[in-house]
Amino acid sequence: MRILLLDGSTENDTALKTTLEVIKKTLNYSNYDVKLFTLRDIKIDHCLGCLDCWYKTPGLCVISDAGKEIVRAADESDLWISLTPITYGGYSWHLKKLLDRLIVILFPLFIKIDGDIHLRRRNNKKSKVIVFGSMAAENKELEDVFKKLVSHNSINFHGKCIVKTVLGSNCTEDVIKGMVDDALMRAGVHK
Amino acid sequence: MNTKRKILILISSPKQGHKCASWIAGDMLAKALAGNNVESTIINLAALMNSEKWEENLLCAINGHENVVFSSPINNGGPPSFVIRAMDSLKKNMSKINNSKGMFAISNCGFPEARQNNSAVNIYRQFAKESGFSCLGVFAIGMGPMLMYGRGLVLTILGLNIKKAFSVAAKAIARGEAVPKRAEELISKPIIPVGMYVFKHNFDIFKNEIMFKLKGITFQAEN
Repeated sequence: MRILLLDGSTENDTALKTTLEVIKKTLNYSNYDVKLFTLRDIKIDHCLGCLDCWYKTPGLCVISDAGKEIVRAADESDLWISLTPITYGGYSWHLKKLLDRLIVILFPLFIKIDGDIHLRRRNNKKSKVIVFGSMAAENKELEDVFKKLVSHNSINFHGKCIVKTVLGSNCTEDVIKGMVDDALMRAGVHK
Repeated sequence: MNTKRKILILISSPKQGHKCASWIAGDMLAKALAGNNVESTIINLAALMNSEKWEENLLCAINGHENVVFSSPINNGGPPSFVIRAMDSLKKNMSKINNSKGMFAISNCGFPEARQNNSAVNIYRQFAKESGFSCLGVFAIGMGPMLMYGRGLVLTILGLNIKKAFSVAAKAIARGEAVPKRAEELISKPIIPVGMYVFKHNFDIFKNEIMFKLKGITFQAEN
């Protein structure tokens, strides 16, 4: 199984730092092909919205930077694990700059899924998605906005999605380990 | 002395001009505001953020106006990454912003359903709440490309709801008040029937043979 690990956290997010360490430790015991990208340290240009990757050069992004390699890794991976501080109910800009570039792996034909129009992957591959979002304190409303966003996105990428919220204030390593184990089990990584 | 109110419209799309639905929507609002004695300054946020001193320049631009408007497309359900980055910067520097400002946002998407902007709408509202801007409202527009390709039609027959919604919004923003809910509902209505929009979109894809030749191939094709 190929696993893509996207760290969209900020430098001082201790809850996500612990989460990442736990994930790394857990996955080290298994024979998985894991690729980790710490997005805050990688220069990735934002998507130009030109849609050339749909209409002029299908499947090819006009921007040549590190984003291309990560998008390729995403397209080849069976499981995407993302970490992000929940930012206004959405992703951090570090993670978002990469997610926006994923448009290149989508085929622009409109199809109806669950009553709404969506897109599908060019290669019809299905990737499972696990997202760990951190919050300073419990906020059900914001958590709900975030969960809806992630599940909406995962429809386009044809994957089952699992969202976990890590609270910065009272998440011990044991609690985080429980969350990681549960998410990985639901994604079919752990038995 | 009757001084004109000033509104800053941040076109939050990397594209510019008439090839950009966000720009067209921002321009429509600017025109509606002009009719209400409000002066608008339109700035492309992506271009502004290309400079090294973009945080300073953004603050300076906001401080020169009473209210700020974001007009942006959605990517993956939310505003583009650089908009989130700009929001983070504004939240961090709120103490440097003079007076309390109002924020209005226009979110457009290429899908036919305006409700696909729902997450982006929530993100804008949450940003206003966390940063201290007073939220004047958020418009959610579906069928964004219709603003570009069907521009003539949108500005005449098909876009009556859009024009009316912008007119109501402009009146409220000019008074510094929240935009009425009915304007938000009006702009969310489909510009043309959903089936027709989907057919036109998919027909254009079928016409483009190269798309099908490369359908199953991703960017690996360049190797």
